[in-house]
Amino acid sequence: MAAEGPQMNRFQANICLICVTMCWSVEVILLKNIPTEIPAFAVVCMTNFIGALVLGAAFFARLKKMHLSRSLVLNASFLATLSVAFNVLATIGLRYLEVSTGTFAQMMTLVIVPLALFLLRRSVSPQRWAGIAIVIVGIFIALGPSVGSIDLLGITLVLSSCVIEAVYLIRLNACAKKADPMQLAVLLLALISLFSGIVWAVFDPWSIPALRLNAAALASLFMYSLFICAIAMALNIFAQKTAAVQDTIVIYALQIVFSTIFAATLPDLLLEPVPLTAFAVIGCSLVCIGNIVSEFDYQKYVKAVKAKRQLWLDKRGSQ
Amino acid sequence: MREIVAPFMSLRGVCQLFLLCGVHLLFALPFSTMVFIPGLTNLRPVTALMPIFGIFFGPAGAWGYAFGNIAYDVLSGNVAISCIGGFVGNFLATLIFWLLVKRITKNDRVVGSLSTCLAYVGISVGASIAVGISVVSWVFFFIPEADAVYLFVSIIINNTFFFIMPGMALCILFSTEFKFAPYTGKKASPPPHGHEEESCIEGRQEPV
Repeated sequence: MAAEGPQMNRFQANICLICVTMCWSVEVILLKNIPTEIPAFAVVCMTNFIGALVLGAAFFARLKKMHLSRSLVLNASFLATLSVAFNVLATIGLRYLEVSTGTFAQMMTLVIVPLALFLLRRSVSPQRWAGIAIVIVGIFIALGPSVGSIDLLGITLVLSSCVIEAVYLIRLNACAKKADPMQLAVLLLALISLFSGIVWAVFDPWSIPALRLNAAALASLFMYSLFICAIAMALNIFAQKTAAVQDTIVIYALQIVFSTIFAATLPDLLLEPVPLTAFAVIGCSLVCIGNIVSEFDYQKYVKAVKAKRQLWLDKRGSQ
Repeated sequence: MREIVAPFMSLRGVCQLFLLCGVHLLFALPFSTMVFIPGLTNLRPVTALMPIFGIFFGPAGAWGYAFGNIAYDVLSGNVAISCIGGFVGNFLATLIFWLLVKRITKNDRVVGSLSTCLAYVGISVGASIAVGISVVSWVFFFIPEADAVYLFVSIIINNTFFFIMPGMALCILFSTEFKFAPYTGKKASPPPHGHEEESCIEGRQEPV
């Protein structure tokens, strides 16, 4: 008997994507406990490997029954390569830029994705464009007056990473709609781990034998693997089965809102507190408004209001 | 009341309870080093499992979570008088999710609309307060030197945060993708023709 039950609707997909974004926002808290001498790609390699193991073990029975198609392996390899590539470019590029400029430049993915969709002759509604525009203005304001000091090499590398990330997101969205999300998630995590392991071995081979981790660092690595790799990746791919890529990127932009809230409210035990500024509040509010403009289903709302009004009029007429 | 003790009335119920307890420990123990207040509380991402245990496993989930929590306290060396409060609080909080499952389910959809989403957030805050009051009342009477207010706030923030992130999304995933149905307890009443074994295993995976 086939499994019956409700499929994920758009609202649920958006909740899952918001949750993914929140997971990514706590990344800095977890990275705080991981020693800085461990290279970034070592962290990516180890955490994705543990994430793949956890998901693989938890859904072993489901995965065992599935046939691993050649096209899925090729697609996952392509996605993993893109993921590692944009991470390498962003990591190197951000060294040349100030934090605020770098963050703003990274958010250019928001513009590149709809432009790429336009070039691919896929329609992006005016409502989405309006939402994206408001979000970009919000991010610009949230980062404050320091945005603007530009290093040409740094900005080129970060923008290149944004282009690759945009291709990754569009491709991931298309793959999630065709393949089994769990199979894709496990394969993608395993391949990202493999490829970043190669990058780690090429760029910093001497740090591999010197790797030492204490209990707190191990707990942080495990938490990172569980929340940011396993759960966030699975949720992301499951949600993308329903959500469109342009909706996804708008929701991803909420990361700046969550990061600002965490930095202002969490105790210094977990994170170095950053006071809230007027720029941050206005910018984050605009990001939220942009999300509402982009995601709120006005037509459905108007229909529901009209139906209620008609019902009320009918009732009144019958009385 | 009968439904609450139902997991102990059948072998399958007890097995399910132990299994859930084991899952709790598996997700809790790796994080025992992330301490908020030494000897009293630490960062517990395993709290994200509480809504899932409550919504999809009902009383078995509540017992499983409560026993898992006390086993975690023992295994991580955090045994204190507040563990009793922790047991009661976690049991009650998981039970709150089960008791109010209708508020977050509409047309068989868990958290499928704005109203159910807001209800979920409200229930999460209520459940966190239940855990907070239960733990802090024990600490207040037996460990007066502890900062009860800080403990209360940290428990509420810790629990509410993980109930919502990733708890809410995981509940959606369990219901839509893994085809778990919310535990309604309808079949928990005594079955007419000697099917006692099946009486308390509702809310698990539907046949695929």
